[in-house]
Amino acid sequence: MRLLLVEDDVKIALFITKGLREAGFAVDHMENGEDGLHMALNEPYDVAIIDIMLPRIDGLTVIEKMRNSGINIPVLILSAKRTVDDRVKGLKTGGDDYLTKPFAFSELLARIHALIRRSAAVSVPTRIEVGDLVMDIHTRKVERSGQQIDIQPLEFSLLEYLMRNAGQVVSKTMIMEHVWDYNFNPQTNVVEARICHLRDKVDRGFENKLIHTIRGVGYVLKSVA
Amino acid sequence: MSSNQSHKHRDTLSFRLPLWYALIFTLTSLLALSIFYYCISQITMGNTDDELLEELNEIYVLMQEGGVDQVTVEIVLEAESEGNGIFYRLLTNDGVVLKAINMENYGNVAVSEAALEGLRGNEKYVIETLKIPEHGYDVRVIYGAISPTIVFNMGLSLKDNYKYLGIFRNLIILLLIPLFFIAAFIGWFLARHALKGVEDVTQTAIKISNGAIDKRVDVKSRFYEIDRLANTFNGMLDRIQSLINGMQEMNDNVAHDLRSPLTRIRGLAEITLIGKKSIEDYSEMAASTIEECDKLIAIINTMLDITETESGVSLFQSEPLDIVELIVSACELFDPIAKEKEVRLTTVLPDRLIIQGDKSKLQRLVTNLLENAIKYNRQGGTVTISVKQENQLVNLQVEDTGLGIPEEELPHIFERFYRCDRSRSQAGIGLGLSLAKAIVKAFGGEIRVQSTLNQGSLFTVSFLIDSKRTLK
Repeated sequence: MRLLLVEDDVKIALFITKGLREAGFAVDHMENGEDGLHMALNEPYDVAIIDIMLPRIDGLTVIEKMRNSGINIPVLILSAKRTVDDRVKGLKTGGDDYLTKPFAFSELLARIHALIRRSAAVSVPTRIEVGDLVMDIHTRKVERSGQQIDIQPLEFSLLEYLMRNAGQVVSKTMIMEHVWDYNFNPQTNVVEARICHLRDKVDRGFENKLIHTIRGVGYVLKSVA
Repeated sequence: MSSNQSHKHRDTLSFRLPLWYALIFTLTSLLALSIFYYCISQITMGNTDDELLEELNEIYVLMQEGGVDQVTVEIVLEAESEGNGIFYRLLTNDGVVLKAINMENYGNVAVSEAALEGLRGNEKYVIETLKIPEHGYDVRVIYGAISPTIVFNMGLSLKDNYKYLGIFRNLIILLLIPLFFIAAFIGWFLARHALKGVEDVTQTAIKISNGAIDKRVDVKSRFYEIDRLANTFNGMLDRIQSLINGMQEMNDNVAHDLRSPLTRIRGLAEITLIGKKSIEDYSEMAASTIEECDKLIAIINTMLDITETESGVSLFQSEPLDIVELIVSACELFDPIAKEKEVRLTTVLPDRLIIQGDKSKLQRLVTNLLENAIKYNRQGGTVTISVKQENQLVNLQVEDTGLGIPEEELPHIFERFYRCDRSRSQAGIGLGLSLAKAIVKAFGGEIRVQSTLNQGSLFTVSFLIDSKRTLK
């Protein structure tokens, strides 16, 4: 997967590049809008991350020119502006998603995966397997090593989200947004409590733990074995 | 007026007001004096006519008593005593001149056929005004029959009248010039007096622009309008100053709340760097840094949310939503937390209640109230959340059996970064209730709190079912 990153803050670009390379992307980083646009028009990328405030040509113009030239790769806008107006403007110009700084890297990664999935129109599987954990979306049944797990609807949604993003770290904010449709984080750790209960049901009694906490970052569901 | 020097002088009110005042005053005076002049000229003409009629009567009587000779003697004598200002003629009723005195001064003006015609048609007398170039002035002339055959004709020069009126005319013109200047002066004086108040306000505003925010305009009761301007201006300044003070206080609080996480990040990073540490120590530092950063981001974002909510109701989405469903889902969300604290969550809800509003903002409102109610509750306590509709009014109540809020702290709990002494030890950023209040206000509703120390608090949110209308 080739990814274009247009970001003028070198330190931010450095950690994004590093993180994305570790996640398996080939990343080209450009520091201004002009070079970014040039690369976008001449190289075949799968996805682009573009900052709005850029030297020479601003990010929105870059996106507009890309779209006008028929470049339809998914674009994620990175911006320090967080008002509703700015978001709407960014998405209207041709951005596919909008992320405000400061952001959690895990969220950036998840959003990029989602964008690629969306553009590739991958059909969503109705049966998900992670290690010996199996979830059937239609019957809403969960089994581990052939044993059925009794699970509440809310826990089911949470587990489904973790399993769909298996191997990727998901932050509390992402869980709040996708599982509970809350676009903010309450101060008390409601997610932590929920994960605890889920872990009780999924991992208790098994040697191979599936739900892992990455302190400060979030949670990941993966089969280590 | 130093502040006006950058303007052209003729653009200033203090120049224009007196000018207009003087012009209008002078024109009005001119009109009044012209009417007066016209009346005077009519009166003098009337006097002349009276004189002519009186003479005609006298001559008529004389004619009856002494005949033509007697009349002739009389008019010769009269003409001698009166001089050039008068002429006499005796005519037959066909217009033949029998006797003419002083006519040479009046260019031997012809007898008016129209006047004789009038007399023949039974007019007692005819008066007309003649223009005689040789004489230089208009002449008022009378024709009157003094016997069946003889007509008396007399002319009286209007020279004296014109002289009299001329003096009067000059007097008017001479009067108007100083009148204009006096009016201009009075106008200038009044304008200056009136504009002095405006100028005071301007000067105060200039001083404030230069930094003296505590300056105010003196209100010394000049004119009602000016006083009102000064009072309004002062009121506005008071409000701005209190806002600035509030902001300064908030800045101090923000700085404090931002400084604490920064101190922790910096401190941990420093002790991790000093001395040999294991990879676990570095992981611990990274995780702790992320946690502290998330706290900082939460503070900043919540503050921006409060500002955004306070400033722009228009940004609100308004969609029909079931507030009961929203509350049930919030309760589900907090259920594990409540269980952990052994707090019982109970609800008193109708089956459904559809309102117009912004889902995300309402979620935050309900969550914030619920969160506080659980956090400040005692172990084994209860939180009751209820909603009911009374006509167009929706009442949402969150009641807890917790610590309660001391009476003296009640007025402050909605202020940003305000934290009761008892809650200072608890995790949190002290913005939840401020945001809750901002949201309720943006919905056009109101939020109230009742609290008894050590027994619990009751938060009541009231708003109209259609959020486009405001309460009160």
